[in-house]
Amino acid sequence: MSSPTSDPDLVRRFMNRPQHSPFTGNSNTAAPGSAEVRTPFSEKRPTPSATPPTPSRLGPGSSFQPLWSGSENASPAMYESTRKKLRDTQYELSSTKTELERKIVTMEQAARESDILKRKLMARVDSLESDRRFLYEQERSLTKKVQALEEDSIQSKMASNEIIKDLRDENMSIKDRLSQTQEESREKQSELTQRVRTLAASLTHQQQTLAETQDSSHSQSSLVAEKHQKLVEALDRIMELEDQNRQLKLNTQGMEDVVRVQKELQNQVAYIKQLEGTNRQLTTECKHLKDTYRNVEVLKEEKLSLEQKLKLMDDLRIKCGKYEVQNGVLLKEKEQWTAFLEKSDKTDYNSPYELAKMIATLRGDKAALVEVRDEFQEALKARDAYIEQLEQQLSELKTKLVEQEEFCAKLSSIARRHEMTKDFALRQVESLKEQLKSYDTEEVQLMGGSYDNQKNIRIEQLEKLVQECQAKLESMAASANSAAEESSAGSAATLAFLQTIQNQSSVTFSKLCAEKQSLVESKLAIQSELELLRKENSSLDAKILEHEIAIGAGAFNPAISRVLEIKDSPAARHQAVRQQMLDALKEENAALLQSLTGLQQQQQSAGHLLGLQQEAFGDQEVALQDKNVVPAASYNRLLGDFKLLQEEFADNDKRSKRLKQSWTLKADEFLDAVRSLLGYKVNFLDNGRVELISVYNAEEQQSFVFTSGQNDEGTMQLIGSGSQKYMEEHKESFDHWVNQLGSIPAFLSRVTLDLVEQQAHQLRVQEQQLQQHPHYRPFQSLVEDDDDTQNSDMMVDP
Amino acid sequence: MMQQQQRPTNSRNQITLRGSTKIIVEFFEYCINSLLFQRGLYAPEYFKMTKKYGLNMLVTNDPEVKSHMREILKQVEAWLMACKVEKLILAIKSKETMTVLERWQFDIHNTKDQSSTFSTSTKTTNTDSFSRPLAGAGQDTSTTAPSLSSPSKPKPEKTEKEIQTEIQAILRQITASVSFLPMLDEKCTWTILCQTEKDAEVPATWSDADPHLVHNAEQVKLRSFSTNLHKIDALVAYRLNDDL
Repeated sequence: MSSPTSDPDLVRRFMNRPQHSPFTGNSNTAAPGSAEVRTPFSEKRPTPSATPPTPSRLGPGSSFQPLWSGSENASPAMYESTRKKLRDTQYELSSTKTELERKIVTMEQAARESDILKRKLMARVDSLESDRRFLYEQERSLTKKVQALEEDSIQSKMASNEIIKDLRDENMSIKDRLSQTQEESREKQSELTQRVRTLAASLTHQQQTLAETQDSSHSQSSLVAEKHQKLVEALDRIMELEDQNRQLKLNTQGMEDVVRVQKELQNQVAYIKQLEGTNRQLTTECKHLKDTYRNVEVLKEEKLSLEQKLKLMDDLRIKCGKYEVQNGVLLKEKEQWTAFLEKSDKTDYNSPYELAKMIATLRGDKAALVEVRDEFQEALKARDAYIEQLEQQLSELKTKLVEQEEFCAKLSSIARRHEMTKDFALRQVESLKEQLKSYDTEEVQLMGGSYDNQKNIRIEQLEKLVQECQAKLESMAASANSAAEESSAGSAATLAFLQTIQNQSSVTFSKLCAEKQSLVESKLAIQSELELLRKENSSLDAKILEHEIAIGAGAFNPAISRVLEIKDSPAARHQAVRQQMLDALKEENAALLQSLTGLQQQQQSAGHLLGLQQEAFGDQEVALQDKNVVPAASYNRLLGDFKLLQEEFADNDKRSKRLKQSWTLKADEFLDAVRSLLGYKVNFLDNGRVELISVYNAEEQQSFVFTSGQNDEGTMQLIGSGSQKYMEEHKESFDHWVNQLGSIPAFLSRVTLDLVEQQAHQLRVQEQQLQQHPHYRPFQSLVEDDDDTQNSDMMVDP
Repeated sequence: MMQQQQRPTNSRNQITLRGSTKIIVEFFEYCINSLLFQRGLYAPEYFKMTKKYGLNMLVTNDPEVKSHMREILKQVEAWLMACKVEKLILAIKSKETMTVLERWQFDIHNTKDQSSTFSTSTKTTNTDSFSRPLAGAGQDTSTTAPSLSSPSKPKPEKTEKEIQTEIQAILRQITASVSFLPMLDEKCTWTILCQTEKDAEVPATWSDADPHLVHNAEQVKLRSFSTNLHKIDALVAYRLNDDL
């Protein structure tokens, strides 16, 4: 039963829902989010809209049938009711069905509307999306553009920055240039102003001069004008006179008048001529004045320079005055100085040297005195020490004295004490004696005469002792007195002795002192003298050295000696030659300069006249040049040079001659040496032949002649008398020495040896003959002569 | 007595003076020749070797130089005989600049003729300052032997050999001195000067001359020699190079 009730509820619910939904749906269609709303419609729509499902709905109704069938079987009343109920329900169903269908239609309509709306919306959305896309694209393109633009702007900024920098640099450079140009302009300005000033100054000067010259010219012109006027007047007068003359002529007056007029005319003409002459003179004067005016200007300039010089001279004069004043001051000083010296010392110190010398001596004296003072001080010190010693001794003595006195006082006090004790003892003794006596008397009185002898003896003994003591004391005192006396006497004696000694020593000391002083003084004097002498000596030594050097260098005293030179000394000759050369050169130089100036002048004049008279002067100039090119002086100089060269040549000639001479001398010496050492005289003949003549040859004509050909192969021949024999003589040795051993020197020495042996043999024979015939003189003399010639050479041999 | 004594001594003096003069003039001749050779004033061909004073001396054989030297020495001899020469000087000068490059100076002292030197020295002591030592020496000797003539002094007379050895020594020294003297690079010429007393007789061929002082001089004293009458002191002063 619950389920049919539930169904209407459900339908209601269904019914309610669409009722509500259209409204809501209608209301909701305006909302954009209708898509969500649409979905329930689409889900629920199939159920009511699907007509075919109705059978299917009947399906479930059929399924109800069994239920119902079951019940029909049960009761026909119930069937009827159920049928009614079914009809109701059917109706209800159909109503609901229509309702639903209507609802579906509405819904469908709504759906359609919504669909349309949706479509519209979709279209709108699409349009919006397209819009959006378009806008997006547009935006993108715009951003791109913006980026590009930004980049562009950055680049442009950079570029602009660079441009700015460049512009700034340019600006700076331009500023610099500007300042430079400004400076330059300033400099130029200053220069220009200076120039302007100078120009203005010169201008003013020029104007002045111009004015002056104008004035002068004015005056001259006025003078000239005056003269001109006068001339004109005179001419007028002449004209007048001529007219008069004509008139007179016309009038044919007497000759006298004519003559007179003519005279007048002549006079006038003469006057005019005079005037013209004066005019000329004036013009010349004017020219002259102009010249003089120029000269005056030059003189003015000179005057200015002289004035400047004068100023300088004034300065110098002032300086000179200053110096004079200074000099005066110095002179005064010197005078004061000298006056002071003269006044104070009255010694003639004429020069500072003497003063310095005096000062030096005084210094030496001072030094010596200082030394003396030192010595004295030393002596004083020694004496002080001695005095101190003596004082010490004195004090010692005093102390001793005091000691002695003390000792004496002690002694005297002891003596007094002794005396006191003695007195006391005496009193005691006396009192004792009295006591004794009283005792004695007492005893006598009491004892009745029983006198103690022993006691008496004892007393007597004691008394004796006392006496002895007294005696001793007295003796002691006496001895003490005597000792004191003795001591005092001894000291006095020693004092006296000392005093005498002192006196003696002081006397001798003073004597010695005096002696010493005198000696010291003399020593001082000697020392100062010595020092002075030493100084003088040293200065003199220095002077001597100086003078020695001067003398060595060539100084001499012209007062006592003179230096002489022979006029024709080589140096003087050389000097004279040089002087001559110099003079010649000077002369030449002067002549050349003269000719040069002449040429220059000619050239100048030629330059001036060249344009006018080139051809006329050309030849002359050339001629002049030819004439003056070489002056006579240069020719003379060249002559002198030539002479000098000749002299030199002669000198060289002389030298070569001398060399030749010395050479020949040397050659002779050499030949001599060869002759004396080797025994052959060597003659050099022409064609390279050599002649050898032995020194020991008996006959001088005999000689060997050697000719040397090519390859040292030569010939030898003998010349002279008996050559054949000579040759034969030496044939053997020649064969042996020359042909076999090939040594010419050996052969020559062999020959020499042979000749010497021969001579010796001959000599021996001659001696024997001499001994046999001693009176045979001619032979001997002959032999001796021969010997002489040969032995002289032998002698020379070393 | 005095006169009798003096006469022979005077004559002796004359003789010795002549001898001494001869020795000195000879010395000058050889010395100057030697110097001309050694200092290269003439080419070596101008000289020839001779033996003198035990030495090989070079003497010029150029007649011009020879005659010139003879002329000079003749005059020097005359002055020496008159005791008027004080110095003989050989000056070597540059030919180009005429400056004195070397100055060989020979001082001639009269050692025995004291009276004359005394008289001259007394005359000149006031004016001449640097002749004082010499004059003083003269005075001393004259005071010690005031009236006696000079030969009576006990000084031993020199033999000729001694003099010769002395001359030899001095010439040797001159030869050796070439080693320390500066080289004479330039061409040189020479002249001889004679310093005489004021009252000496001067022949026409001689004239007063420039003393030829050597500037910036270095000087070396050489040996001396003496005869019995003269004493010769030699000295060479030479110009030092400026850059030294």
